[in-house]
Amino acid sequence: MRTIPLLIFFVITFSLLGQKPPEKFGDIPMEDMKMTVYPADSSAAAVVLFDYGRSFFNVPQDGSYQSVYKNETLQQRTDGRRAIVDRGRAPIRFEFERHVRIKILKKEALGRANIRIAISGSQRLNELRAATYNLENGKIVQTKMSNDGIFFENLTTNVTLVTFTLPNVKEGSVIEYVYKPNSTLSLSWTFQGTIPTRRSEYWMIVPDYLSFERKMQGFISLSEYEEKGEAYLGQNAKKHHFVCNDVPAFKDEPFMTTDDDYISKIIFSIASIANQEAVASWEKLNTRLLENENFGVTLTKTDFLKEETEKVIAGLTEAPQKISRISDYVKKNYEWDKAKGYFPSTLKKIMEKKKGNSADLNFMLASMLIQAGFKVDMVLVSTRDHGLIRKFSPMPSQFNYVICSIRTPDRTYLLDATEKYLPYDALPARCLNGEGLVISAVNFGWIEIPAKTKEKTIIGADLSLTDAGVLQGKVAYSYDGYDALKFRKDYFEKGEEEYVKQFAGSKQWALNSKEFVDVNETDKLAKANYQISIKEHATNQGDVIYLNPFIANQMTDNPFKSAMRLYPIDYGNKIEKVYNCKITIPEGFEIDEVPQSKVIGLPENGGRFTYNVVRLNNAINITSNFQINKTLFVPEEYQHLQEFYNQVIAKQAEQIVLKKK
Amino acid sequence: MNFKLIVCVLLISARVLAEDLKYPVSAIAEDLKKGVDMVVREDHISFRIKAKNSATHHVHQVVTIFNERANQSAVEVINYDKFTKIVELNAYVYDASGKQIKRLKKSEIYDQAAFDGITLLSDDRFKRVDMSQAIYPYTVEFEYEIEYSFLFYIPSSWWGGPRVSHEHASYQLVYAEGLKPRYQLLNIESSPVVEKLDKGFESVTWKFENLRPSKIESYGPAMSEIVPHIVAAPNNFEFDGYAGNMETWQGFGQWISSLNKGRDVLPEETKQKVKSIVAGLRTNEEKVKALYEFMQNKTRYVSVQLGIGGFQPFEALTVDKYGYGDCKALSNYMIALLKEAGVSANYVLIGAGASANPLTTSFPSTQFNHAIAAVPNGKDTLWLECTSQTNPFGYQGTFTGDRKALMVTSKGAEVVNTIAYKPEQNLQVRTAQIVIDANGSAKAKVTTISSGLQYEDNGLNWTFSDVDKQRKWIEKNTDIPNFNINAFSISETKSKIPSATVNLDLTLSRFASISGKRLFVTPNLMNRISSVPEKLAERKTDVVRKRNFIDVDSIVYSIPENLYPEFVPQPVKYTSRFGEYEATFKFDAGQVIYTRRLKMWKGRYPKESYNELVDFYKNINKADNTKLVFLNKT
Repeated sequence: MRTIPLLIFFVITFSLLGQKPPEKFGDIPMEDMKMTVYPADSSAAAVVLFDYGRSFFNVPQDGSYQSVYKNETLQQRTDGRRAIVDRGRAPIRFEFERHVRIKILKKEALGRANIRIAISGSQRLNELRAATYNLENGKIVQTKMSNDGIFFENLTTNVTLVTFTLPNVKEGSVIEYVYKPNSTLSLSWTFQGTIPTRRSEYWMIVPDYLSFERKMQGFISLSEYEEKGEAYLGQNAKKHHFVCNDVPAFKDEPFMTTDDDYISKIIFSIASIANQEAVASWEKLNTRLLENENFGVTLTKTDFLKEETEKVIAGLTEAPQKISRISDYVKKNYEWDKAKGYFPSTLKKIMEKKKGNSADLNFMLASMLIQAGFKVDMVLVSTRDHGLIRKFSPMPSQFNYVICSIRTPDRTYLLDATEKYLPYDALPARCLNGEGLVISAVNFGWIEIPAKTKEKTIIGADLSLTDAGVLQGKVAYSYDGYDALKFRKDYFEKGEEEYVKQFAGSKQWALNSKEFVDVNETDKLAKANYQISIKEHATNQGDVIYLNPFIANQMTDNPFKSAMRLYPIDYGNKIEKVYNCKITIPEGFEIDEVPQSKVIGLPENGGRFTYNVVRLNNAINITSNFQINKTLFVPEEYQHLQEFYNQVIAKQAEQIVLKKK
Repeated sequence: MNFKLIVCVLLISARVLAEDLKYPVSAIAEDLKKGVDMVVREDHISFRIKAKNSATHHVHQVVTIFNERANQSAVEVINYDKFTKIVELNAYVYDASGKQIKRLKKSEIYDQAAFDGITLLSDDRFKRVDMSQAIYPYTVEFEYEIEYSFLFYIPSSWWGGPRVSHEHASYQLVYAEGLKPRYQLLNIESSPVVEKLDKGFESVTWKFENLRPSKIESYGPAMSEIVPHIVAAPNNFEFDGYAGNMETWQGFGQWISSLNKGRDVLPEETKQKVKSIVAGLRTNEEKVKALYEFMQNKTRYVSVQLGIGGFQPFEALTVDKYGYGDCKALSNYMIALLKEAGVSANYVLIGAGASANPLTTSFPSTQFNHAIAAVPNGKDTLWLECTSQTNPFGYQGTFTGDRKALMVTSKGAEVVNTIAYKPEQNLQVRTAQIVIDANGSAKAKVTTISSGLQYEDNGLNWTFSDVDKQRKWIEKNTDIPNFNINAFSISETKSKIPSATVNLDLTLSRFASISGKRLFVTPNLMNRISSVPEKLAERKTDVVRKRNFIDVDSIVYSIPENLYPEFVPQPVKYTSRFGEYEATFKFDAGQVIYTRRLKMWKGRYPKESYNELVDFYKNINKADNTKLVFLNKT
């Protein structure tokens, strides 16, 4: 019984490989050879003339596909990348063939002729052919790549790099290559690259007993799509044909999560096999993870931590204090090795090493919290650099990170132990990427990961101006949320001496004294107080003194310079920057002019800027408050946002004018 | 029951104390701990030359790490390839008391092919061991031995450095008879101990104790001039069957020649091509230019470094056939083309990169990472960068310019100087017309021509063929708070001193700041010095400035009619040994004309001059931020 699908598989594969691609290797149209400019994008240094892929899925009908989870999670642990890897016992077979032809238009694109393909460790390529075509005296001359130009190299034990380089490539050359791995690392097809693509075409042949879901991503829509039934030796199959024509080059913009979220591509996931219920589902993943020795089961064997935990929380009664204390303890005793993942090694090993990846630290945190009497669930997330979650596609490789959650009657805690300078209940900004999946027998489901922590700094300055134009006084910084994290990291990484040197060096300040408060207390604001004097800030013209009230954190650069925006603007977190300054004016001078108070807002309170001026007897008090209250702006809001920054910059540049009485 | 257990534990820990404590932190002298992130407890290197193509390199290092800034010292990365083999690798971690808390397991050694981001392929690999801990302080111990089946270079050793002190260090060279290496001890005085050993072997050993950290200052000399270290190199050596002697640069050059020998053969077809290219060209320079451009069009840079291929170029025939090669192969090919045209050219080894270490000319050894070609041309030399398809002929930029290099000659080699441009040649000239309206917004037309090294400013020279890159470059390098680009162009003039022209048509919204009846403008449109080095009470090292240039800005502002200047600043002029600065402000018939000229010299100046440098920058910073103030007449 088991051998039958295999037999069929081979036959089908054979017949499919017999199908010819629409373009023939080596058959280059003269007009492509003669092309000097790609009409659709005259600045392109190269253009993909076509990118043609064909794939054939085969999955045994006996249900062993389910073990793909196991294989995949192994892969997750070793390199943390998105991948489905065929590891020999082959639950899923994925035949693939690719044929690419590129026109080199400018010298800058010569590097396109050096190609690297990553394949899984044990694999080889079934076929690899490549050639360069040049026009010489009106004739097309082909130079084939010799085997000297191909290198196989084990990057790590799991990944082999195939590197090849084409001969005789110059401005005007056309290059092409064909390869067939016997497995691939990806289940998607990307239509778009960093150079334009004239035609991108993907054929997928799927036996009827296998159904899959697909989703298009990005701004490019399909130019053609066709689905056709075909029969192969008693097996019905469907041939899907996706085409995108004239795809522009992908260009990245500031404030984006990752290019991978926006580049145009089609993503597939297997929905069902042999009309059985969808084998891949989030519920299945939940069950599987709960039963997994390295995941759910780990949390049932934490008794040995009881004594240690009790010591840590001795004397505490309230939940928040206990959680805070344990989080603190894990952060202090375990170092994050900067690797992400959601499978921990064993708790014993983590204890021995005293460091580990995000999963190691957060499972350690969860285990101690359990011993403190909390009900803890693990929550799978995808970090911002790993891309957005696509719920329609229940693939565990969408996740690359795990955090803990505790539900108490009052509130839900989301916890992470990798950043020792963050308060216990704040998540690192990398985790703020929409929703997470709670793995739990009771609480299973999606949970929103709120971006409640802000990037917040409050500056209070109390300065007095001498009649010579020198500002003197004190400046107090108070850092909160991610700004506190940034400050603490900076402070500890550089050391106080170097930190102060660089901090003051970037300004015109002469520092008379400095003081740092609560730098070590992550549950409090971090504070820095300086006594300063500044000679260079005010312009003194004898009778008149001109002075900008900002001695720090003046916004002088608009981050949005492009006239257009294609993709959403994703800040990740909210922002608040407050600057409050009292300036006492020198004896004998009076205020001639001060900036007007002003309030600017973005629609739906997406952002708000208030600039408030109060004239006192012999002093001026100015408060500026800049807020971004939304984390995600759609491209339609771009112009507003750009103008918002414009106005803030202009307002903050305004001057105070003092005149001799 | 409980009581017994405790006694047991106590007994065991007492035993640990008595026998197994190593490198306790308490044993470090207080003054070695001041101002450091780590203390190197033991640092012993022994390099044993067994034959002219065989050596072993033994390292024993113990480091106490006080905070996370030093954590990278708990990570050891050892490179290897087919000529080097790691035969032993052990590592341990001790806590502050000196108790061993970890020992390296084989399974924890990470192994990977090494990529530098440029090289397409090499056989370099590395092993990486990470012993870092979360609880400070802790001590890591590494011990490893590498076997070399060649002899070409000898690892150096550095002691002290920023925020590091050394407790005990030694450096030992052991060598068989007739294979005594050369060495140079730098930035520290010490006499070595020489010992006779068995079988004709000899050793020379330096020992150091209690070395305090050295301080690196901004605008100061390179680390290599400050931090104590030793360099060593063999005299007789052999690499993959190629023997040589590098006691002198002559010898080093002869060895390179032996690698390159016979690799300059061109196919007949290309020989004919060369003849037809140079036919009718009169001067050498014309011929070199024509052939250089032919090479640029025919080839591309692909770096493949396998075995001796790290030093030996592919044959010219291979480059000719496939149209690619690395720096060595392309330079060798270029020289072969020139030779065919009857132009003699030399192969040159060089340390490339804007921040490369200067060549220690007094110490012949392998100090290079790049090859170029040089063509003697009367008094001058034409330098040919063969790995670039776009480099203007004869231009030598920040990658290989202004440094010492080794030119391989028929006799051997000689040290040569590459091109150093004068400030007048590294020139940036900007002219702009700004029309300010009554609301403070403005229209600007700006033209900037950047020549010489300024042609490379922030990658300007990589934008010529890509409009999107140009737009990004402009967005990033236009130092104006708010601007919209109405139109722009970037173009280049290719010549021996090339230039790039950037034309901008901008709308500057809210360019001038309005407060009541006043309007403020910072006349320095987009070329302000924003960072000033910090003032020091005591400067320890010389002041070093590496770039010279001239910037000239002329900006004309048209002001709305109803405004008149309340305040037009006086012209300013600052002259120092580092450079000259001049700015003028003129109000005339509704226009303000602002000019700024900054000329900076490169050079080395006594440490006493440091605060002069700070003051010079401070003055410029202040002058650059000067504002014009206009009053509304109405």
